[in-house]
Parts: sequence; C-alpha cells; structure tokens
Amino acid sequence: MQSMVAQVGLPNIMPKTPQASTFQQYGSQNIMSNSRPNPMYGMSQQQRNKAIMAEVEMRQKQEAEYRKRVQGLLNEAVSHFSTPYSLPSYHNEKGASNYRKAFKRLEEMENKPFSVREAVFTVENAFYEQERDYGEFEKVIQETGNFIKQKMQEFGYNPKSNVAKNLILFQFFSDTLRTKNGLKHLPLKYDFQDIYGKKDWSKMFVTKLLESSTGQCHSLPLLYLMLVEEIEAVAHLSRSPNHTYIKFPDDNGMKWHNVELTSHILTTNALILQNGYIKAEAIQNKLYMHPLSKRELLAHMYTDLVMGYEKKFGSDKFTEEVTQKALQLHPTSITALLNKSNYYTEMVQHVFEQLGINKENARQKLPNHPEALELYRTMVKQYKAIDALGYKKMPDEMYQEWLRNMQQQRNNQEQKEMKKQLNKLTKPISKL
Amino acid sequence: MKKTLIVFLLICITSTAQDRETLYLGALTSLTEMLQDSTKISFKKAVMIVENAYLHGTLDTLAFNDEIERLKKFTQAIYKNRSLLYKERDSLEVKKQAVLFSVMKDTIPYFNATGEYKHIPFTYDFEDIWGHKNWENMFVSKLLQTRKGNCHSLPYLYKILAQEIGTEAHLALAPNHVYIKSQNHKDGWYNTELTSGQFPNDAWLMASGYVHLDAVANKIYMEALNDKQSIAMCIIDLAEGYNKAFPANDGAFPMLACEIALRVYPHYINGRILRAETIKKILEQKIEKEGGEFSAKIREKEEYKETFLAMQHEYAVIHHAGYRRMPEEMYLKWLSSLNAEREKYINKEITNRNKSN
Repeated sequence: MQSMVAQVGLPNIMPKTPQASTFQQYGSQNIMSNSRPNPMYGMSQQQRNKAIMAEVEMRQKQEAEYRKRVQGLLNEAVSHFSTPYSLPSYHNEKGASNYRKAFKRLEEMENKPFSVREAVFTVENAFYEQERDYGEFEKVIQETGNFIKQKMQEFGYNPKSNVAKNLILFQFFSDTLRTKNGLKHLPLKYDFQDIYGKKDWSKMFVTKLLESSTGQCHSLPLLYLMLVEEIEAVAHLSRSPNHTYIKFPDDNGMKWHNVELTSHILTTNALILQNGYIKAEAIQNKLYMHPLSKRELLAHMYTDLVMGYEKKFGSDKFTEEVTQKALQLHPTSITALLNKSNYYTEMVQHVFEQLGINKENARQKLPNHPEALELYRTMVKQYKAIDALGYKKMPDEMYQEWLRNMQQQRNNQEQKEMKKQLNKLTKPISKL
Repeated sequence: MKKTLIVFLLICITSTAQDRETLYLGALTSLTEMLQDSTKISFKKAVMIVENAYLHGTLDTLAFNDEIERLKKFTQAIYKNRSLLYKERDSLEVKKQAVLFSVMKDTIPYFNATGEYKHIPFTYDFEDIWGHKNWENMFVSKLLQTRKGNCHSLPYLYKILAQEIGTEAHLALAPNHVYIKSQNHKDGWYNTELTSGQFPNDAWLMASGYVHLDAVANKIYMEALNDKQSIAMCIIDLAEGYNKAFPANDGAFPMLACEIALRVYPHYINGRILRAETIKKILEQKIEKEGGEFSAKIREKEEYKETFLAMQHEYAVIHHAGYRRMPEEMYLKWLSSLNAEREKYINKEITNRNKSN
C-alpha cells in the first residue's frame, strides 16, 4: 500500500499563463493519452477502430484508478476532521479579531484577480494590529515600480520582453542602481539574523524588508512578486525545502529560469537539488520546484496568516479553519500540510494531558476513549500522507549550509562582503 | 558435393532461425500472460525467458535456478547471524535489504562441511557496458557465471533475490540506467546503486546533466516501478534482443512487444524510444522497397504521410517528456562522480546504518 501511495502523482494544477502551458502539456497523464495506436500494424480499418476503442477504454480505466488513488490520498490529508475536542480558544484575545478580518479579506480575493501587494499587506497588518497604513505601503511599491521602469528605459531594455523585465528586477535586488535624475537604490541584502522569525515574527515581512533593506527567503520573493505586478512581468513563487525562490519563463515560454534572491544568483535546477532533501516523489507530486499559480499563491498567504496567528497567540479552531482553506486551494502545499499535522499533534498532546494519558498507560487507557484514539489515528495518517508525498525534513544546519554553498557561487569581488555576512552566522541563531 | 553442403547449411540456418523466431513468440506470449494475470508474475522467470530466447533456448535453467537458490540460502544464513543498528518496527525488513546488499557487494568468508570459502561479490564490468558488442553482456546469466555485470543485470539480480527472500525491491530508471528503490519506515524511499555499491541521494540521479526536471515530474525517471512495470521492461528487453538476433527483421515483432509493454507502462521511455525507432525502420524499409529515398520530402507523399507524422509525433512526445540522449562517455563520468563527490551525493543515514553489523 505504501509503495502505491508513494507513486501517486497529483493532478496538474499549473497557472494558466501561456508560458506555463509547455509544462502542463506533458504531464504523465498526457503522455498516456498521447500514445496513439500504431497505424503500421497491418490491421483492417474495423480491427483498428476496435483496437482503438479497447485502448481508450483501458486508458480511461487506468486514469480512473489513478484518480481514485490520488483522491484517496488527498482526502485523507485534506479531509475536515470533526472531533469533540478543541484547543483553548484565543478568540477573545486582544488583536485576534484583526486576524479574522484579514482572513475574511483574503477570502474575498479568492474569486477574482488579486493583488499580491494587498494580500501580503493584509497578512502583515494583522500581525501589526492594523497599525500600518496601506496607502503608504502602496506608494512605496508604486514608486519602486516607477524607479525600475525608468531604469529599464535608461538601460534600453526591450519593454515587451519578460526576460528583460525579470533581469531588471534581479538587478534591482542585487546591484546598486542610479537613475539619471539622481535616484539611487542599494542592493537588498540577506538578513542572517533570526532567519525563521523565531524571536521576532515580523522579520519575515516585506514591511520589515522595505524599512531595513534586508530580508530573507520569505520576504524577498514576495517583494519581487509585488514588483512583477507593478511592471507587468510574469514570474512565480516556487518552493524548495525550507525555502522559496522565483521562477520565471523566458519569452518563448520554453524554458524556466530560477532567481535566488538571498544570494543574488541565477540558480540551476541542479544547484537547488544539491541540498539533498528533494526526493523525486516530491517533484512528481509538485511539492517543490514547481511554479505556484495565483491560486496556490493565495494558499501561501493563508499559511502565512496562520503562522502569524500562531506566533502571536497559539493554535485553535482558527488555525484549523484557515489551514483547511489553504489546502482547498492547494492540496499539496507542504507548509499547509505541515501546519495541519502540527495542529493535530498539539491537539493530541492537549487531549492526552487532560485525559491523563501518557506513554506508559496509553495501551490500557486509550481504548476507553474512542474519540481520542480516533484523533491520534488522524494525526498519524497526516504524517503518513506527508511522507508518501516525498517530504523529508531538512535540518536547519543543512539548510544554512546549502545557503552558504549558494553564496559561494557568486564572483570573487563579492567574497569580502560575503565573509562579513558569514561572520554574522557564527553568532547564535535560534533553531526552528 | 560442395553445392549440397551449402544447401544443407542453408537449411540448417533457416530452420534454427525459425526455431528462434518461434522461441521469441513463445517468450512474448509467456510474458504477456504474466501481465494479464493468467500466470503468476515472477520476475526471475521473466528474466530467464528473455535470456533463453536470445540464447536459442540453450540457457541452462537448472544452473540458473541452482545458483539463485544457493544465493538465497546464503543470504538467509547471513540474515540469521547479523544484527542491525536500525531499531524501527520494520527492522526485520530493513535487515533483509542490508544483508542482500552485502551479498551483492561484499566479500564474505564462510565455512561449510568441506572447509573455509570466500563469497565473491558481484562487480561492475567496464567492458561493453551497453551490450553493443555482445548482447549477452546484459544478461543475469552472464553475471551469475562471471560475477561481473552492468546496470542492467546487477539490479535485476537484486530484484530476483529480493523476491526470493521475501522482501520488496523496486527497479527505477535514470538515463541509460537502472537502480533499486526501497523504502523503510525511517527514511521513506532510498536508492541502492549496485554498479558502485553505494546509496546515493536523488540529487545524484538528477546530476548526470541528462535529467530534465520535466522528466522527473513526468515519472520518466526515478519512479519506483511495480511488478507489472518490471515485466514490461522485460518485454522491451526481449524486443531489443530480437532486434540484435534478427537485425533485418520487418519490425512486426518489436512493434507488438512495444504495444503490449506500453499498455501497462505507457510512459516507459525505452519502450517509447523503441516504438519510435521501429516505426522509423518500417517506414525506411517500405520506402527502400519502393525505390525511394528517406528524407523530409516523403512527408509530402500521401501514402507515407500518416506514418511519417506518427513517427514525428512519437519523437516529439519523447523529447517533450524530458528525455535527452546520453553518450556513453558522459554516462561513465556520471557513474564515477558518485565516488568522486561522496560528500554531495551519498545518503549518509543509509550508508552509516548499513556499515554496522
């Protein structure tokens, strides 16, 4: 059973841009349906039709089975689980209502084209307890967009080329740019302090990035996507273990490029794979290295929202509700799946504590509480589903080592600066 | 006198050719029956059928079976005397894999009633790695006889023995390459590379430079294959052997084999390639027979158009699925990179665990 589950691929949920269609066209299901009966094989027309019919039927059956397997797996992972237990609610905590408002706001974005700028701001402002002004935020982004457009013109880049647009964005993040009328912009640097926002969650925010000109693998790509909207380019967020980066298609829609904003390099797929924690199954199930569609990006916003809530208050019904929403939009969002299993783990711990169940007495006591047992089983199922999708936890040290490795890909002139940054790394960094 | 001898020889050749042809048809039938569940699936049996057909029915099946039986008993004996650091609840299964790996790749001293012996491991044969000179170099029977094999025979033998000792091993593909995928409770899927006797991570398998990301996403490569898919691989092996045995064949047999194999394993890249090449070959033969020349122009001719487009379509699908042809030199370079860049490519958890006994 395990092996069957692990081989399951998931339906292709690619963005509907023409660029993405080259990927979409050749999913494994398509390869099956592309296989046409061979006209060479000396048969009469009638026989041939019959053979085609048989083949079509067989394929349909295969696909139905395949779908069923995928669905079964996803149902388990995504299913809404009702339990009489619940975690203590933070509903009445000061500031919790901001999160409910933000959730509602994101839900409104679901069925129409939404602005990344607004979505990200909504999530961050919930954490800031609505103290930030959207008008101001909007203005900064728009001005930055104008600056980039102006610079693009000065460089004489083709204003219609998606590659040129992404190149100028890449330069905006990694180089010092000056416009003729005296505006200057310095590179946005990687902030090696508290990279997971353990001490201060707002470290993950674009707001923080704009204020300090330093950010990390979460905020940098999000700012990139906001600027993509400003200059009307095409680029997608993409995931790798503990990490997000940018993928953009070239002008023919034939090839994808990867932009790594933490180390300011254009990465190859091989370099990303070298972290050693990406299993083939994870690629086949589109956990990693797959360009996220707008819908999937919104799911990413939901997971961000829920993580902020957790940092501020903790987990409760709200966590489950928002995570569920994220999974509806993106059933293989690894962050949402992990959030969900963490949620159940917390719940199991809480319930076991209340019922006085521990490791020693679980065998005797648990059968007396069928609902607690069911809850425990759900948690285990959740972890199994994640394993089957090909997830493997990447330890923090390994992640940082991989980041360092990417930094080394930069040219020698930047070595000094890099060493300075590496020195910072020797200071204690909290573990996730 | 001379003339009669030649005639006699000719008769001999044609009759043996016919026998071999019959043998091939019989082999294909037996393998197809396995796919249709009318006989039990046995990977060992399938491999023997394929090799026997190529060897004019001269495969010493008794010796083959005896050697497999001997290796099975030997593996089981070691299994009893070994303990593992791995302590998860599937530790007995993991131990089977560890011992099997040991039998494949380690020198093991042992005693029996007649004295002390040494078990010689199976090594990689750098001669004729793809069987271009001699197709038999791909065979498990050759591996059993000479203790030297390649990326075809070594994982095949591993899978056969895994079946014998009652554990699961899955064949998996990389460009021009076959390796083993297994899974355990702690690490999920992991890879066993028998050419060099290592446990590489997935990054290595994608590092040859000939693995397009799409090819992984489309499961062209690195998918843990089930038993039926493995039999489909045997069917394509059979067809490739047939092409070696009858270079001038009309393409009907390989075509049939491809159709059968691709029915259960539609995205099997070697099957897709063989089918495309067979369509091309048939078309070439047809054109040659009619005195024409094979060039892009034939597309314009009505009678060839359909076949030509079908062929073109096949190649396009193969390319877009992410397949890239890998030259032999690059392949060997890639194989050796596993030892040269251990830090990057070795799955340390599995390797360390396997060391202990």
